[in-house]
Order: sequence, then structure tokens, then C-alpha cells
Amino acid sequence: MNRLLITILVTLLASTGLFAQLDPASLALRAYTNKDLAKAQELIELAIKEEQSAALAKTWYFRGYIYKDLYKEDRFSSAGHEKRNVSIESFLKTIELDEAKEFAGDCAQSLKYLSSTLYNDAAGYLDQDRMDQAQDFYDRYKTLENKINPEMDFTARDIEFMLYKASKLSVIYEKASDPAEQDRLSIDIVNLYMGVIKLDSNDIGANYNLAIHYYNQGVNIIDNMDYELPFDELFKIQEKVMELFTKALPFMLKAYELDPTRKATLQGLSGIYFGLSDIEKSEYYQKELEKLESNE
Amino acid sequence: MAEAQTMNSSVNPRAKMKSLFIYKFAQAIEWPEAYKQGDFIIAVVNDDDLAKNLEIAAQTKSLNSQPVVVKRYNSAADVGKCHVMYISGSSASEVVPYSTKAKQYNCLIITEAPGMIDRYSAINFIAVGGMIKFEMNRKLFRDQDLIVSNSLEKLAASVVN
Repeated sequence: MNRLLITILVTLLASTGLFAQLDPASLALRAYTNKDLAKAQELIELAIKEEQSAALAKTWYFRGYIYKDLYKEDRFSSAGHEKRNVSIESFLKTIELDEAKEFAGDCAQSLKYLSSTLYNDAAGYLDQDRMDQAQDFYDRYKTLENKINPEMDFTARDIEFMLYKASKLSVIYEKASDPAEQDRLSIDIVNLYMGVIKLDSNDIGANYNLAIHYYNQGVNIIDNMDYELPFDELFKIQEKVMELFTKALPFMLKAYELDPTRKATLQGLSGIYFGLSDIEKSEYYQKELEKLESNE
Repeated sequence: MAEAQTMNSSVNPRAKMKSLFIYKFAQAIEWPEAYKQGDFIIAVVNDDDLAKNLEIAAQTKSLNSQPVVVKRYNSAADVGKCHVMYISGSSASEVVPYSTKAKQYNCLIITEAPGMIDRYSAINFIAVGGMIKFEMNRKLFRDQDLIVSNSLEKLAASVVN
């Protein structure tokens, strides 16, 4: 248990005596230290309804801790998430009321912890392919971090989140059979990679993955072409595919510029140029790849 | 935590595209009566990916109501009767032994190399702005007794006589 909470409790008991009348917040703290979280929750809710208690930073501080532990007991349900929200709200309220900065350090530490759980939940939802929830929790994480540390630079985190989300969406995209869904997913994937490139044009992962996304889109279109298609459709579809290969090229070239010895990039360039009927360049990058492999 | 996307290298886009063209060419051409029965034979020289695509298509698609059979050749001496022959190769020395043999039959010869259209093949694939297009030689169609539809000529990038 937190040392400050124990100190407060000991002080309270020493000043009032074990059997003296305690205010609801102090009673809640006592229940909390006795590990009776349900009682502590009940009492702290009474405390915040009393005008005098509600005006004290310590009341909200206790509430933050009680709800943080309630959340820890139930961290994977929406009820648990709601308890985390109450904990966050309470710690923020503590900071607002704590003019003496008595609880500032503790609150910051707890909020940091809660913020990290929001980020982890966002990543966990991505793992489960629940994109909307993942985005929601990531946004909450950022909102909270902004409150704790308004100077925080989110660039690295944003890049990490967007790259992971895009890679998960790509897996869904590859499995999707409905063209409308594929189109929708493709827009999201491109926007995410472009978002990363806007933040860091030298991000090799975003450049490479975006190129591969465009290339695979083109290849999938060709792979799904039926032999019964009217002749002139071959040209129309080819035009669309060429457009995708052309879009892929600058991003793969950028990935190559950033790391000319990455095998996947050399293979990508060879494939894109081959698709664009530039056999000479395709063979050049294929030979570069073979040289690299022979030197291993 | 981000993963690199995997390039789809299971599909050779040019081979698939060329196989589609070859089907369309075959549908737009009329062969002599003797070739309208039995298997519709497509010969492929030095392009396994293209042959594979044609073989997959042949499992479900006929051509001019004839079952399609794809034959792969590594030697011109082995070449027999066929309706279509695709010869991969950038030089005359690679193409000529096969085209000479194929010309013994009423065979549509298709190549993909500069200069081939003038003497060796009735259809030659070319790249125009990255796209696969084709050029045609009317004389070589006539020489092989193949009747080509006007619509195919209209789709060609160029036609020589």
C-alpha cells in the first residue's frame, strides 16, 4: 500500500483515537486499508456527496486509490474500465484541489500508471482486431497524457500506434472478400501510413509497407481477373493496376534510399518494376538482391 | 510492435495478364476446319509462370468449345501441332527455331521481343507506358490461314501488313 496513505491513516487514528467518530473519507480509507474495497467504495461515494468532504483534496485522493484498486480487480470488463475512469477523474480532481501539492507526486505516478493501462488496452484491442475500441482507448490515453504532461511529444507513440493499426488492418484486408470492404480498409491503411510518413518521412516501415500495400492491391486485382472478361476490360483494368504500381514505386524507392541492403526492399523494387514492364530495372534490383544473398 | 507487410510474390502479374491476352486472342481468331475439333493446344516456350496460368485456366475454360491443353517446350525438335505458340525470348536465335517449326502448322505465333513482329510472329507483346499491349502482323496471319477479327485489330497498338 502507498506510504502516504498509511501515514495519513496512522495520523488520523492517533489524533482521533480508534473509537472516535471519523468522517466518511477517513472511514473509507480505513476500509481500504482493511482491504474491504466494497465498503471503501460505498463510504467514499458518501464522502464526495458531503460538501465539506468534497472540497478536500484528500477525499478525491482516497477515491482515486480505491477506484484504482477496484479497477485492478476487474480490469478487462467495461465495468472495470468505468472504475478506471472514476479513478482518473478523482486523481485529476485531487490535483485541482491540492493547493499545497501534498498529493501531487502520488497523483502523477498513479495517473501515469492508469495512462499506461489505457495505452496497453488500445494495443490489446488492436490484437483482437477491434479497431474502433483501439482508437477510442488510444485517444483517451492521449487526452490523459496531455493533462498530466501538456508538453509531451506524441510523435513516437503515434507512429508506433498507426503502424501497428495499419499492419493489423492489412491482415483484415487480405482476408476480406467484399470489394467494398476492401476499398474502405484500403483507404484507412493508406491514411495511416501516410500519417506516419507525414510525421516522419524517413520511417522505413511506413514507406515499405505502403509500397507493398499498393503493389499487392494491384496484384490482387490481376489475380482475380476472369478469363471471360471482355477484351477492352483488360486494358481498363491494366490501367488501374499500373496506377497502383506507379503509386507504390516512390515509397519503395524511399525505403531503398533509407536502407539499400534490406532484402525485402530489393525484392519489392524488382517486383514493382517488373509489374511496370521495366524489365531492365527489375533485373537490376534482382541482381542486387542476389549479390546481397551471396555475400551472406 | 508493427509488422512488415508481406509482398504477394505468389502471383506473377505479367504472366497472368499475358495468359488473359492469349485467351482473348484465341477467341478472336478463326482456325481452319481441321483445327476446330479435338484439343485446343497452346504451346509455351521458356515461360513456366505463363504456362502455369494457362494450365489453371484450362481446368475450367475451353476455347472455341474445345478443351484446352497446355504444352511446355524446351526443344524446338519436340514441337508438334498446336493452335497457339508463345515463345519467350529476346533474340531471334531464341525465337526462330520454334517459330520455324510452328509455321508448319496453322499456328498463331506470339512473342515478346523488339523486332519479332516483322518476320517471326503474328502477335508481339510490347510495353506501352508500363502496360502490356500488342502489335500484329497481318501477313503472318494470312500465311498461317488464320482469320482475325476486326475488333482484335482495333485493339492492337499497331498493325503491320
